[in-house]
Amino acid sequence: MTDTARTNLRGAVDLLILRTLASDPTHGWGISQQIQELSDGVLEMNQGSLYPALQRLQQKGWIESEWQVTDQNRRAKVYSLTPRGRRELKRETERWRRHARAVELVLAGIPA
Amino acid sequence: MSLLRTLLSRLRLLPRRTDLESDMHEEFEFHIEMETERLVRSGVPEGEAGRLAVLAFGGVEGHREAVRDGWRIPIVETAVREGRVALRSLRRSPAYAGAVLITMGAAVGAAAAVFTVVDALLVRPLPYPEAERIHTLWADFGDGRTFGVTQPEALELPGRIAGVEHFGVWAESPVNLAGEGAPEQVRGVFASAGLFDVLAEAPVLGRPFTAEEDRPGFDDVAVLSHGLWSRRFGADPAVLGRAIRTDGRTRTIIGVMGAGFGFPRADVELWVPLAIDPASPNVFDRYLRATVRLADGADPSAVARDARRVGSELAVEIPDLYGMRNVVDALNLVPLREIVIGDVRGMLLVILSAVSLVLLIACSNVANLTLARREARMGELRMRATLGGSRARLLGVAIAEGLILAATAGVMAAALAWLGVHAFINLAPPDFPRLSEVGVGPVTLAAAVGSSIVVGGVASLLAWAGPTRRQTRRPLPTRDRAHTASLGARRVRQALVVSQLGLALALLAGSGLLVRSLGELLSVNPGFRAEQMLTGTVLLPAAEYPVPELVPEVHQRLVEAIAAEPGVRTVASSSTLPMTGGFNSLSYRVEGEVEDPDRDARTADHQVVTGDYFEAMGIPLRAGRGFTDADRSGTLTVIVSEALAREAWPEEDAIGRRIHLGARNDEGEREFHTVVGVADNVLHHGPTVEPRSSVYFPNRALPWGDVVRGVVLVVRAEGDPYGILPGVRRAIATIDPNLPLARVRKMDDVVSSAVVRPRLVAFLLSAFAGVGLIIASAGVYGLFAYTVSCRSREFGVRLALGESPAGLRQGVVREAGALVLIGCGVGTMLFLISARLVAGLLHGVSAYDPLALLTAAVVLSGAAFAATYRPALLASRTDPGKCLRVE
Repeated sequence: MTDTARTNLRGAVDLLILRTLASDPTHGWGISQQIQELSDGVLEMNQGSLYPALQRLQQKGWIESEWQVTDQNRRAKVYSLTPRGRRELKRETERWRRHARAVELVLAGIPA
Repeated sequence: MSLLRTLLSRLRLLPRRTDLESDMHEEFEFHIEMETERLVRSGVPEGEAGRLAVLAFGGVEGHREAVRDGWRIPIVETAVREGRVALRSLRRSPAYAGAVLITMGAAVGAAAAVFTVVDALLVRPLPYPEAERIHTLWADFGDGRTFGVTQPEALELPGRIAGVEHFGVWAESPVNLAGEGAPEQVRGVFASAGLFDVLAEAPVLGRPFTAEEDRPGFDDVAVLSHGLWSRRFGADPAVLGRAIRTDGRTRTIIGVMGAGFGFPRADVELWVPLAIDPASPNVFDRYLRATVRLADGADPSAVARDARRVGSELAVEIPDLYGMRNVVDALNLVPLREIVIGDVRGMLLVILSAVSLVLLIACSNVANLTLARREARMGELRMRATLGGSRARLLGVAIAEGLILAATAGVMAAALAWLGVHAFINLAPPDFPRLSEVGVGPVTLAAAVGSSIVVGGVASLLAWAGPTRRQTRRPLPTRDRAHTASLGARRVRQALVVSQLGLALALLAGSGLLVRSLGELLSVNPGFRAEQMLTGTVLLPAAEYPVPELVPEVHQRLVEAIAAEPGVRTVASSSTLPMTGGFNSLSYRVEGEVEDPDRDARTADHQVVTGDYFEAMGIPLRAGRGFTDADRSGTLTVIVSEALAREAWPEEDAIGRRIHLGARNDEGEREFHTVVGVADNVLHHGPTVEPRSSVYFPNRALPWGDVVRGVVLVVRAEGDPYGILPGVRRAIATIDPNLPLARVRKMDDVVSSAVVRPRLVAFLLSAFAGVGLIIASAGVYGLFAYTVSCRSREFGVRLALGESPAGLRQGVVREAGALVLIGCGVGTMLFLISARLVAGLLHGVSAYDPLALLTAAVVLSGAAFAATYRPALLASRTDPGKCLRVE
């Protein structure tokens, strides 16, 4: 995969994670499940991308984590959005939508 | 910047790696468990669910690596890795590492210590606020000598000179303390109220004295130094208002100065008001020092001009103030800083230059060692290059090695510097300027670290630049060490050794000159005989001896009482001691002389002495006689020094002539003193100052009515001077049991303390020269040991072809000789350029004296040839058979 493609994909993963955490803080598995459910099973989160992504977002200061105890009395690392993360989510969402619109326009303009 | 943020967060994670690993493990476990449960809930049997969950998760190790990548900081990882390699490699060459560490550690340590001292003394401003505005006002009589100011000037000058914001006058004096503890004598300063304004230093407790308190009758106050307060009053915070008895007077303590304050020096402990009596007739004694603070923005040369103008006005207003001179350029302005450090600047600069030379020698030595090592490892390096190691990698290891060595040497150097600075503080004489401001601080650390980096950097550059590129590209050689000593590298090493020899020569020559100068100083005839003499000071305070006329009587009785003690050969008292420079001066006039306004005023140092002074001190009288009891009353008589006699009466005999020394009788006419004796010149101000004109008064009141209360007793003993000390104290006690005898010293010690600074410089320079010589010799040895071993095959061939072993040895020696010769040439040039620096410190010997250079060259050559002895011997012992067989 080329670098650009990788960056784009990474961006998509980051966006999805941020969006998921925007509604409710949750742990890694929870994020993976939600994305799958919300996308009607289309997007399956590759765990090899998820955890490094969570790491990366944390280092950028967009999310933060905390070890908590779940209702089943288990220890889980729960992630949540930071205020900066929230701003970034808005920006990234805009960018993605613009990107998607542009792609659509091009596709619509090329005769089948 | 998110990049910076990322880097910072990764740095923060560094210490928590193990925690992060276990966290990650737990997080993954949780994920798999949750997935397993979900599968179970959707109907998959438990065992199957577990397996599927793990499969769905994917390669755990791969994920782990991915996450770990997020923690890594590439630069740090590389640095740590290279560092480990470097450390291993250094441990394999302990000789190299040790030699570099010792050389660098010692040189940088010495340099850092010297930089610290020089910074504290020469670079940093004086510890007073806006210290560059503080100046001293000197009276200058045109021949370059400077004098203090008189009481009339002290009263008239404040407020008259434009541009002067505050004016302070002061005089130092020993002071007897009593009450609240044992009687002791401390150094005190009698100061006008303006002095504290000039210095702009407020006491940490209480206040300084006011102008009201600076008047006779209102001046019973005192300000203590921090040290005196701690020592004598136990640092009592309620000390203000308590009493202190100084010279028999009770004063109230009104202030305590801060811990670092000491004006004019750190050993002054008490400040009391000067309280000049405006009615006092003392017009002539220049015993006061004037220190002023210029107004903000005032131009010193403009102020100096105005001072001169005021001086000429005063010359008219107060007759006799400046002696013969009518046109007066009498008052001079000199920055206080000059006064404080002026004498030691030359000495410190010489020491600084010398230590820099040592640093250069060390640098060159380290470069040489590194170069040798690199050549020895040439085979290994070429292999690494061939196997694909980039030049950058090789350089990286070299840099890592250099940094590790520099850092370690830096730590050693810092420790050595700390020792050096403390040694200086403890060994320097207590009256060394600004001594209290010297201490180990950030400058020391910066100097140690900075010098280490510079030395390490330059050395590495010298060693690694150039040859690497050519050599690592050549194909792998056979085991032929002879070829690895390329000509280029050898030339570099020779150049380094030559430079070391040159620098060492300069140091040796310099130290040789200073040692000889010291010898000259020590052999100077001081004009008196110092052996078996004891001195001590005694002060008769006004409160306990209120009748001034009786004071000389008491001094007389003290001297007589001491003379009666067993073991005492002769004893006398004097207002000042030779070789200590504490002389006051006055101007004088010769009777019958035509007034010449263009001639500079004549000045003389003055002393009040008891009758046996010349005999006690061993000062021969050239003409006339000593003082008798008759001189203590009636006709005014004086004894003059030979210098004065020659100055005043160059053609005639001085005996019977008369001079005017400042006294006018009730009718306002000048009173003249008759010269009854001429004494040999005595060095009053130390061995380096030419004897000045001086005048001895007999033991009576001074011509203007003052009496000298504090005198030095000089006692010549039959045997050991300290042996008679108890007797002397006993004798003093019979006259007055409360009178302390202070500053008891042997005259021999007084004389040798006058040369303390030249001795210090000579010692340090010799130490540096010694170190330089050792390093340079080691450099010579290293070079030749290495080249001989490299050229063993060549030697073998030559021996086989019929050359004699002696011939080989001589060849090596001849090569060494060439290097020494060039080195001496370089050193001589270097020395001649810098000789001017040393010239200022020399006494009795010229900086360009060829003997010094010659001696240094001989010593250097001797050491260098001694260093080549062994390599030359090895060369001659080469076994031709063994060498040729290697092929």
